[in-house]
Amino acid sequence: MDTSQNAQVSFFQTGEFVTAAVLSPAEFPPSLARATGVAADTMRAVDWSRSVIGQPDQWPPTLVSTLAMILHSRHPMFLFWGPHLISFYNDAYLPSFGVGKHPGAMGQPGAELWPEIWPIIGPQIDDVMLGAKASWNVDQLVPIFRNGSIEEVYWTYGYSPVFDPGGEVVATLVVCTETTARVFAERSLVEAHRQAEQARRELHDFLMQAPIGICMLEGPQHRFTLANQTYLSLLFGGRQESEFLGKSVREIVPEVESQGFMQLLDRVYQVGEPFDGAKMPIFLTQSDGSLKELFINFTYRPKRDAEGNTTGILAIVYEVTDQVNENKEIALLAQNLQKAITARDTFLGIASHELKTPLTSLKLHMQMSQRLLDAKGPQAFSGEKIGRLISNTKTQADRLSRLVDDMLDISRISSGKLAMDIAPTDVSQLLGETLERFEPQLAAVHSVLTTDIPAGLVAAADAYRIEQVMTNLLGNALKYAPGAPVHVRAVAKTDRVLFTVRDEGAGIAAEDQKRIFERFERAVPSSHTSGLGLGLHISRQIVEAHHGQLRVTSVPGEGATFSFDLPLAEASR
Amino acid sequence: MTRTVLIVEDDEYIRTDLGELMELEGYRAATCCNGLEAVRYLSEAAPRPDVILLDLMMPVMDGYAFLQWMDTQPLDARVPVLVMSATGQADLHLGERQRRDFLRKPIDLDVLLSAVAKRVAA
Repeated sequence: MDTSQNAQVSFFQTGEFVTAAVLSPAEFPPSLARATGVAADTMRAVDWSRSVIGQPDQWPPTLVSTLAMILHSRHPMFLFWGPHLISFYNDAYLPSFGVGKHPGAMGQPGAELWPEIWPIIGPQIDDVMLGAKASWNVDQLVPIFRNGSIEEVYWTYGYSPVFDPGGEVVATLVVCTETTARVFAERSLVEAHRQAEQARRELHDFLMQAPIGICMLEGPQHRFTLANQTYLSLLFGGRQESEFLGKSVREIVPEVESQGFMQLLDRVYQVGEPFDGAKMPIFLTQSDGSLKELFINFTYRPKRDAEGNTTGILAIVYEVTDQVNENKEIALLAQNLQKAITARDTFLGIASHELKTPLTSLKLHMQMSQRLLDAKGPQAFSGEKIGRLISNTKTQADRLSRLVDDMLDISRISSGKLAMDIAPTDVSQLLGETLERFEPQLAAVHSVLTTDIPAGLVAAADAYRIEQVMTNLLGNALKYAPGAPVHVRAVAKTDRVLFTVRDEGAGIAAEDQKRIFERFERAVPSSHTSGLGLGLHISRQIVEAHHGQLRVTSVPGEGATFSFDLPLAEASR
Repeated sequence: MTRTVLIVEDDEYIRTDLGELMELEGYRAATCCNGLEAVRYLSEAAPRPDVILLDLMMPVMDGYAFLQWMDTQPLDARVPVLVMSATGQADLHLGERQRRDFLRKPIDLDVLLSAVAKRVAA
């Protein structure tokens, strides 16, 4: 069948109908005469006499009954009749035309009416007409010319053969629905989904890579739905997100229960109000199983659904451990500095008193001598008086010298420059000489000295410094326990020699036994005795520089025992 | 009439020197080693001193404690005090009521003698 030839033969030329040959409704077959609507009216207004299918009263019954069914149907239908595929359609079909094709389409050969889609539908119609083969297309793109341009139009349509009573295919019935709107809607829905998914993925990626710790918890059990890298590395030393997802906080970090965080989460979930925490300490189990203390700033924000119900919690966490530690360090530094300043002030007070006492004595002496010389001349100075003057001056100079030595020592200790000149030293002899020098002082306070010192002990020691230690310990015994017996011993034990100085004075309370070795400290308040309060501190530093220890043991009321040990020199072992 | 000066000073050398000096100047000198001895002296011994030379840093009972004790005494029993200290006057916490004449160590002999003379005459 050659449809293209017939398509050229049009009875419709200028858009106007030649009405003379149009049948009156009464002349139509009754089923067609009764049909109502725009399409039916158009069909009846056509001058079929000029058509290849002739006047309607001559139409074959198959055409009449098929057309009647179409015109009475509310479903969009189209009929291509006969070898020329003459077009018929109903009212329901009209919207599919848009503007332009109707009403001229009625009675027009198919190929002429649909040139723009003939390559698509032509073969399908041929399949029906020649092979009685029906077809069914869902959401098929069939772009048509309407409304002044080619439009992208989608159809779900079926092509069905129409048979005459003899079994010949005489027409193609098109039952169709335009699905453009639905296809477009579906397409925009798919696009919207794609965009939503992309946005979700971008947000997820952003959250996962954010430089602050973020986790999302769902439901009253606070189940993890997200835990970003920063969150995992910051709080848990790099545990895996997969460990967390779907698990509740209670399951995955049970250690926070006793730290109050569960209660906070429960509250935020139940009350729906956010919570902010600052510089809160938290102990968390790390990926290696250890427990780590952190300080964190964090925010819990309730997550709500469309109805405003809390469905979960967004937690944002950042670590401030360094800041907190820095603040702690600064506070500690400030405290130490304050202590140092107080110690310095105390030291300056004591030092100025101690230095000025011998100076006062010296100055008084000189001024009085001057006065006496002025009043009475040289004869006022007897030999005995001059002797006393010289002796007193020497005493005061010695006092000043000792004070300055102490101050220099403490300065060396503070700057780590207390150097030792260690050599094999006969400490038995050294101790003996020191004790000898103490004889006048012992006599002055009526203290009795007992000694137990084996001869010939040779230690690796700085003789000058060790004498300083011995002098300090003996001086303390006389100063704090005047009149009481003093016992001095030296004992060699394997490779060390132990010295003890025991007095029978008031003793030292347990709580003071550590303090007396600190700088500027003494067992009794400073106003009760003289000296810089440096002696034991310096002595301990000296002994420790010899890898020994200076200790005190005391029972209050029964006296005190100071002891220190030195390494024996190789020869003495 | 011979005036009496009470010297309260823990340093043996300064105490002795000050005693000798006061006697050279024609005063009667009494000496104590600390605040507590001075309190005992004032409570028991006669004659009452006309002026006290007081050191601040002393064992047993220091100068501050002695001044506090002095402030608890009846007005007519109080004796003028000359405080001797190695510390600067501004650093002393002697209180408003305890404002005292102050001699800075090392003591200048002329300043000391004129302060004593002024106190004794008052």
